[in-house]
Amino acid sequence: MGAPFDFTYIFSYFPKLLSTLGITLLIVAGSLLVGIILGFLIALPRLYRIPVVNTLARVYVSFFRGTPILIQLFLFYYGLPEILKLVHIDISRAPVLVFVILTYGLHTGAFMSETIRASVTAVDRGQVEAAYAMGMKGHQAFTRIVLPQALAIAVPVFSNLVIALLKDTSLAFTLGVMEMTGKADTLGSLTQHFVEAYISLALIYLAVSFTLEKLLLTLERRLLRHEQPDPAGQRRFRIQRKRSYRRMVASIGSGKGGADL
Amino acid sequence: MKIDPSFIWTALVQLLSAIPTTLVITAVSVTAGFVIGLITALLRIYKIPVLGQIASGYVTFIRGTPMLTHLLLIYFGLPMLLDALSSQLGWGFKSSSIPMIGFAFISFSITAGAYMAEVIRSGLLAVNRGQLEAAYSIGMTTPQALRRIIFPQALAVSLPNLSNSVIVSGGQQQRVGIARALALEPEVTLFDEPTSALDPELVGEVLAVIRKIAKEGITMIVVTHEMGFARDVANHVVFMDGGVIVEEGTPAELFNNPREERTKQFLKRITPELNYSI
Repeated sequence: MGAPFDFTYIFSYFPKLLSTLGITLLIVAGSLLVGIILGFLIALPRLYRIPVVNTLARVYVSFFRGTPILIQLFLFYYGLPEILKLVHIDISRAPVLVFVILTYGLHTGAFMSETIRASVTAVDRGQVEAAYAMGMKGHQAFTRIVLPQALAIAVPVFSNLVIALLKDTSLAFTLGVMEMTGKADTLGSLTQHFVEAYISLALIYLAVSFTLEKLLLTLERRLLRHEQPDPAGQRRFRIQRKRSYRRMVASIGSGKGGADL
Repeated sequence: MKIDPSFIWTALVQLLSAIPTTLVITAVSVTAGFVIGLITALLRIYKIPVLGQIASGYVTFIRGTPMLTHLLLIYFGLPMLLDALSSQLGWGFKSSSIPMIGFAFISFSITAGAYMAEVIRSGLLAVNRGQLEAAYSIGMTTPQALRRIIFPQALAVSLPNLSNSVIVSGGQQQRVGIARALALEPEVTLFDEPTSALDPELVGEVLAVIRKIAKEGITMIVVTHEMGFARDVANHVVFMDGGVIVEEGTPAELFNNPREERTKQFLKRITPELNYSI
């Protein structure tokens, strides 16, 4: 299978693969943007229990969390134009990238909404009531009491979500998008040096996700610099005493999979 | 190409026949992944020189690259490696004899292993390190300490749904703690303010437990602010102030006619009713 192993190919593939890194990052950034907006929109009805929208949001979240991203990509790429054709909208000419970003955005939105919902509900309800009792308005209670605490819980999960998204974008090549994995696949078939292409691909992914993780960690430290867990809270959540443990716990929580919380 | 809903049912029946394959791959990779994860986590926790670093590199690599890359690397790389090895060593092994599902097993197990290693490691690290040392100091062996102290707590962190930890009240927790301590049949039991941080009703419960133990004749050293309790239960009372022993004696002596001025002052403030007792 393929040509004999040759180290030099690994290095010669680097620049070729890096030229498509932009597409990968574009998918990540685009779908993050879509995901964050959608996540908020989906989380709000679930937080405030708005009757019908709440159920719809639940169906949406459990669909996107419960099916593999690959299936979602196929469904949207092949299915959406057909369905829109029924209402006489022709989007079959739209570039593939639009479908890819849309699908990843919807996928991220589902996870993001769960993150937002979980971190807001994690803040004790009594605190909001106490804020109201102090005479704070709704938005004041949210921005001053709930948000800082929810952020502390959400930020580590969010970083994991970004890394997971970066890794998931490798599946976009199945629709023929020329991002990094697609490029590596093409290079492999052209030269028959598959293993070298994939090793160099893995190294680039590793470098990018490592950099992203470090950047997000810096951001997290900066955002949470005032965060000093109170002694009682420390005692109750002994696991959160060290930041690194909390990160690890967050990484367990976010992960992929699980149809519903 | 037009959407034909009736085909969904045809496809569904066909797809159902492939469920066992999916389930087998999942089961195998979860099982193998758990074993790999446990080994990796232990290697990293005990910081074993070379293997620990390899384990850490393995976890970083797998977590930093997409699953698809692992699958492709194993699919293309493993046969190449095995063929090269077998031709060198003359095994007469053909990589083409590996069934397709074998690659799936291997690559998913490796991926699952790295993620599980993190879950297991975070569970184990969440357990306070002093507890293991405490377990050793009361004479537990390593397997005992792992089974009784570490794993239950690690499980509670890694798989909250599986652990049977029930939230109990402070008084119950304290009583469970005392029961645990006594289960080891110690010669001396030390209590450091067993009733601080408890509400008044619970204080009664816990003190009743300690009274019961005192009747059984187990030696106890108790630090407490409960003066009535100290007077009832103690054989010997030591009054301390600023880290220095001010006065000591039997409860009757110390509570009814204290010698030192500091003790008198304290008793007047803490238990005024004692002044009226005979």
